Amino acid sequence: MRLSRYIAKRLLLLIPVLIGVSIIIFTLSRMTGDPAAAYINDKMTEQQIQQVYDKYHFNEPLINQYWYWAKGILQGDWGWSKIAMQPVDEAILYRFPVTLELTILSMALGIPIGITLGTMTALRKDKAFDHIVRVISLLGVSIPVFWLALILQYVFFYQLNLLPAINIYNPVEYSAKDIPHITNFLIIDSLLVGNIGLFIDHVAHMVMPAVTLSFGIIAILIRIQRNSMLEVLNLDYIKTARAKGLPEKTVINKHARRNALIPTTTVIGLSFGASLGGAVLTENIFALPGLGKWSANSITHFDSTSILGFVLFIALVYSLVNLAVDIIYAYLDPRVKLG
Amino acid sequence: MEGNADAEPKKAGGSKIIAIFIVGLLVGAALGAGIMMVLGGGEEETVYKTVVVATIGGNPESLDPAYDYETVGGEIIQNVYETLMFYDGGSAEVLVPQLCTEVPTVENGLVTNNGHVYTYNLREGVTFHDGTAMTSEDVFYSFARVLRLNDPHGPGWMIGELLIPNYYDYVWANNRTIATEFTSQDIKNKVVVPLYPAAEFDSSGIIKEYTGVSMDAIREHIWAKDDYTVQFNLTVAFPGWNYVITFGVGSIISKDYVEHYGGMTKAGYDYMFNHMCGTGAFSLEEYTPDSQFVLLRYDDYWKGPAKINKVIIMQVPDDNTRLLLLKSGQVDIAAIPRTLRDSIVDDTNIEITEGLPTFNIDFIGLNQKINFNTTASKNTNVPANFFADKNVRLAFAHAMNASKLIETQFNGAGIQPNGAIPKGMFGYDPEVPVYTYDLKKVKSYLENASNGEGSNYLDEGFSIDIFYNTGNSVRQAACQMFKAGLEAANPGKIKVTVNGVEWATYLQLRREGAMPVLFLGWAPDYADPNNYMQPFFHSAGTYASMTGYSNATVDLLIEEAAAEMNKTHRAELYSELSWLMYGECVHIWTVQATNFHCERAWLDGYVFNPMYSGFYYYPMDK
Repeated sequence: MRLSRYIAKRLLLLIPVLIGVSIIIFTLSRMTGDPAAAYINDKMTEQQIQQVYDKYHFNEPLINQYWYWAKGILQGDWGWSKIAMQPVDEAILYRFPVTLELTILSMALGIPIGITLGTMTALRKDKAFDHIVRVISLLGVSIPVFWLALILQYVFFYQLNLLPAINIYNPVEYSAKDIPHITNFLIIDSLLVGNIGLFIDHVAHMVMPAVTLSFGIIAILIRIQRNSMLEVLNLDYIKTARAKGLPEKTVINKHARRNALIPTTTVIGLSFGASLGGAVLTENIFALPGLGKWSANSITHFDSTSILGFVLFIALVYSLVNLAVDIIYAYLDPRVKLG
Repeated sequence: MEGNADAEPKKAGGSKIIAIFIVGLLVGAALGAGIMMVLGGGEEETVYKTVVVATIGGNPESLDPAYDYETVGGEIIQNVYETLMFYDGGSAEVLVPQLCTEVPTVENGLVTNNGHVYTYNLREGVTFHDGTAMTSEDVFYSFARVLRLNDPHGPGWMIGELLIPNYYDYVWANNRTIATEFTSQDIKNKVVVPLYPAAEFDSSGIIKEYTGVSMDAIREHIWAKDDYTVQFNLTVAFPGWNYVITFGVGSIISKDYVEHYGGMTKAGYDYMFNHMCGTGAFSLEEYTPDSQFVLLRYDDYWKGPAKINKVIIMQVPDDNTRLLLLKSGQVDIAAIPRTLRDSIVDDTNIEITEGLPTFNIDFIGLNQKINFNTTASKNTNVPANFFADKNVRLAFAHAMNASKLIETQFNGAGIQPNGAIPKGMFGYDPEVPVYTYDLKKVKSYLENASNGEGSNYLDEGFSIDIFYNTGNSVRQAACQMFKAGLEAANPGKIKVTVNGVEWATYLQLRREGAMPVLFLGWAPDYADPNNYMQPFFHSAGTYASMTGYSNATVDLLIEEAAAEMNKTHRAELYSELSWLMYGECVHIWTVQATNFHCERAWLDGYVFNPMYSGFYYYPMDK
């Protein structure tokens, strides 16, 4: 099947997937409590509370509520985010670039380091290097994100004064007028307008969050890549390649690592999706105005409209990332046919 | 996916090079920024000297004074807009003229018609941030747009109930005849609709004629007498009026600016949601949701420009990050929780101001008309009117150890209130005692409380379910105190079951009226004791009606005190009310919170006023 047809087919399949996801998340959100809770406070009169129920149809049967919500989604009205004080779709689009940029940077750090160390440990199995990296990888999986973030802040911001602690740029040096909004990815926009100072300032602000988020990714990739490499290295075709007298570098880089990357790619795809939806603590500690901070706030304030919009959006992104992973499979392993 | 073992492998691309480039970029930028931070320290310090950086808790509901009714937006509104009067430094009781030239009083002849008419002479030479001059037209327009919008969840009621006749006759039948009686079910079923609901806009964005308060009604009660004189004609005599319009809802907005962006239409209100044009010492330079506000000094400010040229107010959700920012000097003011006090108390670069009473009161309402939810209250055997007996209420009051609650749950940062009026506010009577934890009194009051079956609640005992929302440790501790204090009076016979429920369930139980004890809190809208007495004790007040308390004598006394123009006599009336309500024990007062403020020692000009929304930056310098 041609790639374009495969992509079209997968995109069409997304429709029932998203309908299913929307039904599940909507039902779950209503099962967890009264959605009006986000709008009600101690000072409100009974009449004011009633107005909230009427305005958002919270008194109507669940199926009606779902219909209003789903119809709104299709018409581009994702509801009102009480936390962001803006429409949910605008809230997502406004915050997504920050989260996506953070995720891409953390992946850019995590993937080469994780794959390289994973490959190296497999080649040095049961030697000192292997043990050391495995311990580090175990620590990487075990260390709580908030703790790592606070330690980085303490060392690199407070003690060494090397990196800024919060935000995506320095508001004392740059005012809102200085911030370009071309793609909404500041790392790109600052370069597009030729503001190198802003570019450096922005990247410096993203270093600690990216390192924090990449730590867990590195740890997982090391373990997956190591195991995968060990498996591949024992396969007959590797032995054949070595018996044919191919240089070890060619055997490892061309034949072994490439095949070992297939399970790693799956994990990368999953980690990418998880980072997009789960950068909550990182964004909170580094005060980054991304999706994670907003969704965490929405959850703690029972803002079900925001939570629904966020989950649906992440489900969509996850599905697209999975599609991308499947396409990358075909690239990595020519035996794989898309269809 | 299908496998094909015969296919030729493809060559790997240059992804490694890209990855190395990105890693190198990050490391390079980190080093570059680090070097810039270290080498550029001197210059940065100069810049920082004219900037105050503070932290804030979240996004505002709105930046429009007609709509906003919370403190985040309130802080920005307080610094960008101005009201006719403002508080005198740290005093919430003394007002000083701001956009007017004299605070109206009976003595200076600006309050007339037995307290019904307030006249304000406006200051001349005041300009808005758009450069236009402020006149009485702007004052009229600012109040009119609040009343036209008439947002039921906003602050409009504060001026509406005093200015507009029958403001709370909200109900209007579909055939536009006024219904005399209605229930919430009627509204739910759309049998009746509000007479003056929040503004509804037609398809072209114009406010529908019958929604919002009519312009005719507004014109009847707010007069722009000449360019610099405005008169408010109140429907009732109310000495607290000056305080009402000193709240953000009384902010004066540039009419020209608002009209330019749509005026009193949907487009106009939408625009003013996050745009501002006031007369304050700072203008709004930037608002980035989830991130920051930037306020710029207004050089033509009528009092003279502020000493600092920029205020940056950032959202930093994490407590420890805020602590590091404050300790490093990157921010000048940060909200630090009291639990981290030990981390900064010995730091000579940081100053702490604490222990000053706020006007926020936490209390426990005792529901005199419980509508039991049989599923949630399965252990309860008391009648619905259990708390209608004053003896039962007093027994509960003496079972609560409020001072211990303050000590354990608030780190001692609070005062036990002696009634509805907080310490520091006009009308507070320090002689009124507080309810103390006293097992003897618990027993005595329960003994006096008849159980309706020829015995009393002490000897026969009782069983009751009480609720708190899970995660709220203060409410949980208070419930446990009730349990300990009451069960000790007659172990085995008195049983208090403490139930932790989710917030949504908690609200649902509250809506049903199913909770015997209600944990409630109150922050003032304006600095007048009526803003406490009325909602707490008047039969039409929010909390009195919520707990089913009604007392005609108390109602009359509250109304009399509210309208009394003689200050001395008014204070006596509030004292009388406070003593009366101490005996009635309608609610149990648990804590009046005190402040905890942390700032860099180099910052001058911070003033604590319990009526401020956040900080007032104009006097600040460093």
